[in-house]
Amino acid sequence: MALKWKRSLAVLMTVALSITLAACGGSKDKESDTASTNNNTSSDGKVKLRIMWWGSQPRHEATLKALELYTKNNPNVTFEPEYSGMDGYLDKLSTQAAAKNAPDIYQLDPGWVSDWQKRGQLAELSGVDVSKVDPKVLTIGRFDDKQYAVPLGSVAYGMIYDKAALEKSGGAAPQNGWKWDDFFALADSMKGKLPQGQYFTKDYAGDYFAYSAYQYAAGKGTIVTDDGKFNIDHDTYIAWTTKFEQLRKDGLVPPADLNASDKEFDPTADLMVSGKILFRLSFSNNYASWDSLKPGAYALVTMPRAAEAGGWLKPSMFFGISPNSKNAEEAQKFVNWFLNDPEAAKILGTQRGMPVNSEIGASIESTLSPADKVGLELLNATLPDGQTFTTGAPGWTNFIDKDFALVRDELSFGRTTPEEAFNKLKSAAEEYENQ
Amino acid sequence: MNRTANAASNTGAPLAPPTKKRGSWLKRWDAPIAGYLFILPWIIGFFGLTLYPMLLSLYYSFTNYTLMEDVKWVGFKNYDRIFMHDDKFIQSIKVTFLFVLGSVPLKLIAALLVAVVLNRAVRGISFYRTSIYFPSLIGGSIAVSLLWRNIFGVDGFFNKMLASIGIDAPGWITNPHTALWSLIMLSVWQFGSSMVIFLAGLKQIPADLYEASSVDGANKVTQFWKVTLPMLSPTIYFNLIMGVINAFQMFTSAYVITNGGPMNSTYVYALYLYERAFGRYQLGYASALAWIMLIMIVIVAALIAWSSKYWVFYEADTGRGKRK
Repeated sequence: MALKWKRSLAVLMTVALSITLAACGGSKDKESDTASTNNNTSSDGKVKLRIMWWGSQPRHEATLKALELYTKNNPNVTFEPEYSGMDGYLDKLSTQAAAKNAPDIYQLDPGWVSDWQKRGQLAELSGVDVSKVDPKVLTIGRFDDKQYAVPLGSVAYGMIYDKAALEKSGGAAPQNGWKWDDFFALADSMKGKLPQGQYFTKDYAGDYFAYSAYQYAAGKGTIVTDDGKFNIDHDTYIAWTTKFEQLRKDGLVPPADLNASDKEFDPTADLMVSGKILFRLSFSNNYASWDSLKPGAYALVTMPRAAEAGGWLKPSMFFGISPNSKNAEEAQKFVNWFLNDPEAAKILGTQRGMPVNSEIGASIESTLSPADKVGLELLNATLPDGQTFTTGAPGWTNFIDKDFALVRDELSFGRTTPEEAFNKLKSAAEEYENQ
Repeated sequence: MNRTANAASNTGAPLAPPTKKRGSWLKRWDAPIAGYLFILPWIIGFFGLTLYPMLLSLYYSFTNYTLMEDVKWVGFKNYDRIFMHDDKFIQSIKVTFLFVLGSVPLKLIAALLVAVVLNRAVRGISFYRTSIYFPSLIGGSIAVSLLWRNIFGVDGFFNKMLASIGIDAPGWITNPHTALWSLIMLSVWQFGSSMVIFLAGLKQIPADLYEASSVDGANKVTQFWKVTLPMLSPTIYFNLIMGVINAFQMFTSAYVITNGGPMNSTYVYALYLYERAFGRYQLGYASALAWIMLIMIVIVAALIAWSSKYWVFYEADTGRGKRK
């Protein structure tokens, strides 16, 4: 009997082993199998478009309403929307695209566009009318004089703060055009005044975007130059990280594990929404999202400046169409409508920023919700001398997402000094400079 | 079947006509063909979905395959870079081994203890077994990972409980000291399938061994060490190998709960491989990583198999050690 047991054990083991092997070896093929089922066109001209975007609840609702309207006007087109928060969005989209199973239409961050075009993952958008769009925001999606991705709106980068909490601790509300010195002075003045468990701002020491703004304001340009060179200014970086080291010691930024738990727009995990911090960075169009979580609690202010302005305008996001789409024509028609139709614009508001089509933008201004108007104010305050947005050199996405993030954690956990952090970033950048 | 066919022709008429011979020839092949036909779906799956992609990935590991551009042969360049110039490789190996060393033994112990407790004739035992097995049914999924993230977050359920008894706890999954342990605990919690195999193994142990040992004066604890464990060692061996293979490939929870952070403390190997393959589209490089992982798993599994002759006990061949 025992011998039998041993033999059956061997059989069991072989079977289990091969299942495991099959499971890990086979997964890739399964994905490409589903690619062939992507053809959703049936013989009666009915088309189903897959569309994917990220955002928060108000953007989801507005977009879904717009899709509904489009289907009402064009009964042969229906949609299969896939929407989520930003968390994991790029991973999901990249994986689908790698399996040639990307949605017909997908939303892209301006920073990804050149990488995606270079890899042949964007179809040319010859059928989208961009004649009324400011040419400056079109360049990011333009390659060899052909448009591969269209911008959906412009936004301004600034800060958002908790009005009541700031007042309670005796802080004066900041004014548009304030300086980084004012920002840090305000932080220092809060020392010892904040209630237990509340902090002035996030630990932005290693944050790519916050530091970008600081270096811009110092007049030292972008972190990575457009031709792909590491361009963090040593002294500016040390000044910034040292300042945050001080804030960390003074208890004005959250301890590292709390800081790392922050999830933007998450009703429980967003540090500002849960009342743990007063200030955080924000795009002008995000105001409505935060306002929907706690109506009336927040206000926007421009990014602090120094020698130059700190904030910038940027095209918020783009739509691209998959080169594997079987319904590219219908997809282009839809994107064109999304961009240029006044009815669509009325529904979408400024969920993706101020419409880039100037006529449309002007036409909806009067119909904007109060929350959208707050965002528009920041946009107008940033407009006069804001920095020029650049997507940076292609191929650096991972540097920003992973290498920068690691140094950010190390700084926040106090495991590295400002000097070491600079050197780490510098040496991590070498791999990207030489790619 | 084969044998009976031959036997029939041997005992049949001595002057067998050629037609009959052909019949037996056909018959001789009949059986295996039917057999192969039956396993054909599996064979197709194995060659098409397992062996072919595996060999292809071996080829890709010597190229700079990026999915979009032309494939170029680069020889051992990928392997050279991985072993000589890749800090993330070292870090992910470290984390993966820590995870395997932490999760596999704890999971086995938990599974074994629960199996022993559940291996008795109590009223409603199937209900208990089912409810204990339940976490494993939903195990490894995104949903469980999200749940874990909420329970062990800074303001999670677990910390609120601790706070109510006055303990100020850290954010388990956002602290580099505890993050990996949170993932290990998640994997230990999903001990159900090992437990079921242990239960089956326990049922195989003859009751007379327990009777005899209790006559000899052994108490429950001695029985566990002297009877249960040795008799169960083949099952432990099986669970150990399977557990190690699975733990090396751990991905979902590290990806969903911590995404490798904080400070790369949960940056497991599969996560790094994924990042190379689908974050940076370096599929050649990722294939090389995959093959290194495969070889690592084979070596570890072989070491365990080799060690088994010292601690795995088979009732039937007690003379095994001496024979050598």
